[in-house]
Amino acid sequence: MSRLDDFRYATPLRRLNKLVQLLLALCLIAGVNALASRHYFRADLARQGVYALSPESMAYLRELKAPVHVVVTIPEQGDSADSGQKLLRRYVKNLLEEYREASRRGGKEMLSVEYVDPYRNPRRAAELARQYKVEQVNAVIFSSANRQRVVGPAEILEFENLKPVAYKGEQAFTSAILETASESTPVIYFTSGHGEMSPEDVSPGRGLSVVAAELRARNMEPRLLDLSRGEVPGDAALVIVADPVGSFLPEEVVRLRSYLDERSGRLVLLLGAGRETGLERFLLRWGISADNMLVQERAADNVDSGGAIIVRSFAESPVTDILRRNKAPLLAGQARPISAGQMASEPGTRLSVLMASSAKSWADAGWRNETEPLFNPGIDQAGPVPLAVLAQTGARSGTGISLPGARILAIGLGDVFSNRYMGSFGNQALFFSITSWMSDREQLIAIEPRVIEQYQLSLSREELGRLALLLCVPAGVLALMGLITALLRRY
Amino acid sequence: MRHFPALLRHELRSLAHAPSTYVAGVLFLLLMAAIYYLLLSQYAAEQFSVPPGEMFFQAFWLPVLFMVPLLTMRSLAEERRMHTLETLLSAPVTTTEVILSKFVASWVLYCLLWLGVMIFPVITVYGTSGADARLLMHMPVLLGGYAFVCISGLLYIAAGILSSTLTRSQLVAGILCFGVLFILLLGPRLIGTQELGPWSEWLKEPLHYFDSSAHRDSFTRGVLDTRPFLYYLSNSSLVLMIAALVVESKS
Repeated sequence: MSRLDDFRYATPLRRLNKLVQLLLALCLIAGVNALASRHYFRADLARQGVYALSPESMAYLRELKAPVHVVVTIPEQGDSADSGQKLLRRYVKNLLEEYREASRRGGKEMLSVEYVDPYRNPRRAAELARQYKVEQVNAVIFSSANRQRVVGPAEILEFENLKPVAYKGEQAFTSAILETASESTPVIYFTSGHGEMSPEDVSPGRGLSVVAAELRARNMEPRLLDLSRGEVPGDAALVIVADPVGSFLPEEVVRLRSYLDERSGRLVLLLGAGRETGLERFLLRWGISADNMLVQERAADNVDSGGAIIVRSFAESPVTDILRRNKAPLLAGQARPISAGQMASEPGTRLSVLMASSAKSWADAGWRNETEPLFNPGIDQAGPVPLAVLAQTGARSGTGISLPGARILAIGLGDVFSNRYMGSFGNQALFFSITSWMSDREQLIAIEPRVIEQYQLSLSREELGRLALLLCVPAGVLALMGLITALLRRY
Repeated sequence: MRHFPALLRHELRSLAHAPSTYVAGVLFLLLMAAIYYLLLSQYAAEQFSVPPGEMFFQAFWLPVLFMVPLLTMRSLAEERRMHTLETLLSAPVTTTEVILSKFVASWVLYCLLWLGVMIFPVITVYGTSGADARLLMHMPVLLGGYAFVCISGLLYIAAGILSSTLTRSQLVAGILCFGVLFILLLGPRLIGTQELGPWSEWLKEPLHYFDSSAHRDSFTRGVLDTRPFLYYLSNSSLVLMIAALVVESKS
């Protein structure tokens, strides 16, 4: 008899044998799972779903050169979370899962996602606030080597009357990935030398520092431009003239004109009341009339307690659609009429009025000399007074293809984007709508929004009562089967 | 595995004759009917942005926590208490065959009971005039959800069988199974929501891999992925192997 068959050794050996078997099985299963997590097959059988990525996004993700990290700061779904927040989190989570999968190359993900609940994980939220300079809840932060882009709920879901109606997260996420992965930065120039509002100024009334910070957060660079020193630089995506106090020199106007004419430039003019800027004649050439009058607003809904004007009437246009859909008003200190009154001398120029004051307002021509504002028929302009006009030309290439030409947007609300009013949702939304549309950034990628389907059953109280009984039928059938089985076994 | 078909037939017959099977089945179907009814009431009262089927499967863990222990706690604990396991193992059958037959029988019953739940949308559509068939009979959601329940059931039933091998008491086996299922179903999600400091980055991927709610979401969206398949298949094999080792060491 072998010593191994001796009962003193056999029992411990048998136990050792089982332990080794168990360890080997554990190693095998761990190995299989580790391999499976890296090398797997995935198929979307419902390709028409709201989370299925478009071929454009897939192509961009395949070409990603540098890894992109995504941080989602939408809080976990609690009982207190509203349905909009639940919908947002669910949509963002599922959509980013598709992005993560599509960015996979050779077992390595080029896009990583981190979920941080700022309420449950305040330490990590504080770290992120330091790292990304973002303290916003409900944000999706895309970051690459040295760039970042914050995407907010308004860019992910389309709202109508504050109710989500369409998913547009794919457009926003793919654009954000393209922006963070891109090596060039669009430059937004702010003219200087005429007492304009400045992106370096932090004062509430004349400062644009909030605008500058938001532009940097969107990977756009704000810079000052002195037109008396030279032409508009070649890297200008947009030029903004922010409420100048003084007048532009004729050569400066010529430089602006050549930027628009020869380079299909993009120009935003914010004109305050009571200023002679030297740009009025230049605007007339584009069919835009900027009369030096002051809009007197008398409708109670259109003036706030601090005396600021509230603009609520917007036309349909790519720039103001966000305000129309959300019924978001604009706030500004004073308003000046900007109208599309005269025929544009530039051939092919299309003019559109974008916003207007209330019907109870008027444009006051003699406001400087009046102690009490009065409407003078024949001199003053009756309301509603147009406050912003967009002029655009279409350029035609040699092959006959229509290309976007120059765009000029003149707004008669000089301080609409000042630090004081940039806290208002409408003002913020308008600014970013202007910068993205005027600089063609929203055309980086065009993915159609997908309608949010709403599911509801039209069941009456009687039908629900009948259903309560009908749904118990399977349980009843099983109970009957059990009873029959028990009876058969007994007899 | 020559004796496996005969053992499986025996197990299925035993389950079909046991009153406890019908009691567990009826309770399960009543619970699911109540959940489905509450869901329909909500959908009748207000609008939702997810189909009702998808919402229904979000509550799958609740019946699993109660039904799987009821289905499996009896399997080996009762055999050991009645000393019939020793008799069974003295026959020319292997421990693996015994464990597998009990496992497959319980799993088949589990899938059949869930199949009973799949009738609810049909009952609702044909039993009322206001229910939209397109809404309730959304096939990718229903088929994906049922496939997930069946595949994840492999691991949950295996966990129940293992619990049943560890004790002679059905009650203890049931409580043990409940605890294991609680960890499997809700553990990854609960851990993931905690502040884990330096561990969070390291644990992110494994927690996502083990998270049953993430698997459920992708199945109900019509996404087929080999990872959950392998996770549930391989881990149920491991759990069953441990169960076989436990039975061998105790017999």
